[in-house]
Amino acid sequence: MSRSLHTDPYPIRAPRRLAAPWARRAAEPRVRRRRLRRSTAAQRCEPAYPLEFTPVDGALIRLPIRSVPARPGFVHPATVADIARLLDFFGPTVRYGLRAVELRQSVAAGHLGPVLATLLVPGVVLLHEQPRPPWTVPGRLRPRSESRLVRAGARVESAATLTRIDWPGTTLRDFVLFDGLLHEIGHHQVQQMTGKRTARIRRTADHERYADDFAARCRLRWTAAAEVTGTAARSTGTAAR
Amino acid sequence: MSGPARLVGDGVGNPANAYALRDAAAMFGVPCLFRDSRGLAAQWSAERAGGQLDLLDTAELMDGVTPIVAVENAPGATSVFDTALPAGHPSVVVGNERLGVRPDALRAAARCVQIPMPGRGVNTLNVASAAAVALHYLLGATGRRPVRGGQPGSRRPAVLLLGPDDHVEAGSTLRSAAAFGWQTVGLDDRAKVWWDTPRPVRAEARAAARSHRNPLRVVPVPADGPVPYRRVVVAGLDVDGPALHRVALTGGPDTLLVIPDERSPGLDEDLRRLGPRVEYARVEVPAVGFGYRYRLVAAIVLAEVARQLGAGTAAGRSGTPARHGLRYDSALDLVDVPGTELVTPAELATY
Repeated sequence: MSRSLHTDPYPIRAPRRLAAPWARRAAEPRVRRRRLRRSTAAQRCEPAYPLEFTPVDGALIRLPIRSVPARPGFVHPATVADIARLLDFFGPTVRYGLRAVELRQSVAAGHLGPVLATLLVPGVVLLHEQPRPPWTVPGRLRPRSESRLVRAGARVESAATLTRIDWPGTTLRDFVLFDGLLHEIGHHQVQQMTGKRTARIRRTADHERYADDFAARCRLRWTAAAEVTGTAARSTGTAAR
Repeated sequence: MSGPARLVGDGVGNPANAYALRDAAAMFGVPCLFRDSRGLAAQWSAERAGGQLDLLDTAELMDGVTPIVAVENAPGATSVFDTALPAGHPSVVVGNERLGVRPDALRAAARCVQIPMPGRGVNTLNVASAAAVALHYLLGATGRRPVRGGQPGSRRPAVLLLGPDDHVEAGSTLRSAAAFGWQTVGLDDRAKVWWDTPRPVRAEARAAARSHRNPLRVVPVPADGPVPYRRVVVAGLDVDGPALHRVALTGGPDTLLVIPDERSPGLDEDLRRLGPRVEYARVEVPAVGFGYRYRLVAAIVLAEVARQLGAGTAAGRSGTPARHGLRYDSALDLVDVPGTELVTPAELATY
């Protein structure tokens, strides 16, 4: 959603502002066009800035992705390269407004259950280290959390006071990338798109619902693209990249 | 009874705590005296206490010959885990339940020690529990297992209180667990001393205002069946095993630390039910034939775990991220086991 009628929609605004984050807002093509329409014939001159924006590949400012090594017994399921590849796939609309992504050691943040990721408004996403699988969580998971894990491919075994969570294959990496990183980017987009960078603008339940939907949509896009790539590779006989 | 030191209760007001202080002193073979400024003598029952009230006055306490070691959360206090007892048959002084050690004794103290408590919302122990922990570390526990660095929260074991048979003992132990940093405690309430019993609630407005923050989660644990933990450690006075400080009590949520009430019947069978591989850790005390108090033994065990975790005080706790304004966390939510109870810090402070 745009903040006003004079602001370009988010998918147009994001790549342009990522490519030139310190450009004057008055130099943006829409503003230039509006001023040209209002100016007299004598005042019209060759615009100093292009009226249309053409994104140039590789012109986006690199997003810092910092990593702190995990402690013994813990791992970062998603690496810096995984995160960079994921963000490149989804493009500038996902990156717009992000200031950094950090892989950090976990802290006792007041949650009884394991914490995957944190968004520090505005724009800093933290991915916390996780214990080496299988996980042993004291207590039982809520049904919503358990279904979230099962959807991500985990195997969950619950007892009265203990829950064991096993992660076959690359499911843990994907869980951290989608249910952690992209979930927090969903929270970030709610704040970014409405311009309320540091003030809470929705109820927590609505915020969480949007972030969940955003992460689910991204996972579907990624999975669909992976299937297409795999299908194309099989049809051409080349290995999928 | 003489010993390397003497325990002094300075202004203790609750006679039940005074009786427990005598038992704490008896565990370590030291005499227990009281500087009475709260009318303790009028409330004393020799029959309940098992002896007369031994008093000392201010002149005897601060005679300039006997050094004083004050157990108090005062500025500049050293950790009880790292402090040695001074020579000269010192007086280990614990103070009033709410007001602590009196200022004149603090000023005259040769050493002031505090018990590091990383808990949120609860940063004090029951006075008898504090005395037992202080005596345990000041009077012995040589050859201690070194402290492991790193985040204590990830290495903290689960704890199960097995069958406390007294409501006050259970409450004091829960208070100790909260003070030493546990947020969830399992309780086997076979003696029916906790759930479905009326309990005192402090009616102070300040306590009520804070009562919703940092509660302790008390989870009922069934008495039968093996527990699904990879490692079980049973700690107590009469168990057959190495000394408490020589056993690795940390190990994360896969480790269950069981603190049984060793007076309850059928304990051996209960311990067998815990699983095939059970380790034991013995709380070493120099005396024999003293009155058993569950809260005192449990406080020593929980303090040793806190020491091995390397937890500091709540003020100096590291690892807390700086506030950055709004934050959103993506975490897995846990559901409470049916019957789980949230006990507020205000209620724990009454034990």
